[in-house]
Amino acid sequence: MSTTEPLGPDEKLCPFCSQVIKAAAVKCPFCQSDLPVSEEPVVPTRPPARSAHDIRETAGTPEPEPVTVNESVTQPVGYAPPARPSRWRDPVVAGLVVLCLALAGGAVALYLTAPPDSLHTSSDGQVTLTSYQQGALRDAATDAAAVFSYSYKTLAADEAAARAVITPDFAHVYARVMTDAGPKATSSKLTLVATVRASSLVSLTKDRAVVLLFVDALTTSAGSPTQHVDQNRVVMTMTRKDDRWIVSKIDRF
Amino acid sequence: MLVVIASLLAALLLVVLGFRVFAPGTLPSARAGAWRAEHSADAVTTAAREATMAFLDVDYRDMAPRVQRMLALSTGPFRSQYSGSAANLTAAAVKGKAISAGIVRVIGIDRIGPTSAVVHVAADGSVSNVAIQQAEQAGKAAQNQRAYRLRLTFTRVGSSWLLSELQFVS
Repeated sequence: MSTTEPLGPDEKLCPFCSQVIKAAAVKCPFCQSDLPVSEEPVVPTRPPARSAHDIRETAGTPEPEPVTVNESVTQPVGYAPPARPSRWRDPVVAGLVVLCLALAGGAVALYLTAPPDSLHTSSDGQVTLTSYQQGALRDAATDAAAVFSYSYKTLAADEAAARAVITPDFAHVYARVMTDAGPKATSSKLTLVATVRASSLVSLTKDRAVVLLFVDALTTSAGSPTQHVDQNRVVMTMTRKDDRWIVSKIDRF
Repeated sequence: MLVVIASLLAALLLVVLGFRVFAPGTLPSARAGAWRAEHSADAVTTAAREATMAFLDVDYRDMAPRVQRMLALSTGPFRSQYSGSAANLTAAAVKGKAISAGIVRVIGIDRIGPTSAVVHVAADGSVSNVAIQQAEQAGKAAQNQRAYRLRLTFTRVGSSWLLSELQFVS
């Protein structure tokens, strides 16, 4: 709906919001826009262009029509299409926009450049730091050699070396094994030398490593020319103690 | 409205900053590298399982699809060698009436790089052939179970990890 009234002699249309305002106004009381200062009073006439929404009659003779105010469509002649009043010219608004952009950019930058934790841990706890992985594999090979190797000549020292790299719980398992193996080694003068042929990681978290080892166990008996090699496959579970890995479980298959 | 947005963004920035300072490595973006590494490990492990099963899968009655399967999973030196010996392998399997099936017990990762990976596989095999059957019929002990220790090298080709070397660790 629109209203149509003739403009008074001291009235004009605001070029920004099309409201009727005083001809001498330099600032629109409706939209607060600063109005251009002109030497001559603005003479509003019917605009040459019409939009599809223009409801005025177009047929008939081109008689002068009274100047009308159509709030929705009538535009003053004599002005370029008015730029919409820009909120961005307000220094406060512009400042806030810049601040928002800076904050958003800062948050995104901080997020995207977030460094990994010291162990490069994945979301399910797997450590992907290469040096940590290599440390686990290195200790696994050393521990396996210590646990699987012993000689009838140095049995006590070999058992002590093995106990130094296993957990207290696994020490009970080891003790049961050596209860049989120790006397047998002594009586048969056996020497077992374990060589780790390959080691690889099955799983690695900060405090627990599971390692697959291919271990050759060479058994010799003093005075016997024969040797026997067992080609073992071992899954060794290790836990962290004093910055090194020690054995908590061994599955040989 | 802009003040509200600025306040929310400031709060968001502080939250991100807090995570970085007090809980390093917990932001998803900080785990991106670890995620990629683990994703590669999973892909290599899957490839190792498939390749091992295919390698140990022998049936003299229907060798062609098994050979094709193995070729499809391999590249480089292994593929060349396997392709060159496929005819002999098939002939030997037919002659010996060989049937073999494998199961993967454990797979461990030695190392993974952007384009190559080395894994170790502990696998068991069940084997049947003329020699074993004859030994069993003669009442002799015949070992038809195998315990394999394999070292597999994989090469990344496109989005796939393909077997490029296979060694028995013996």
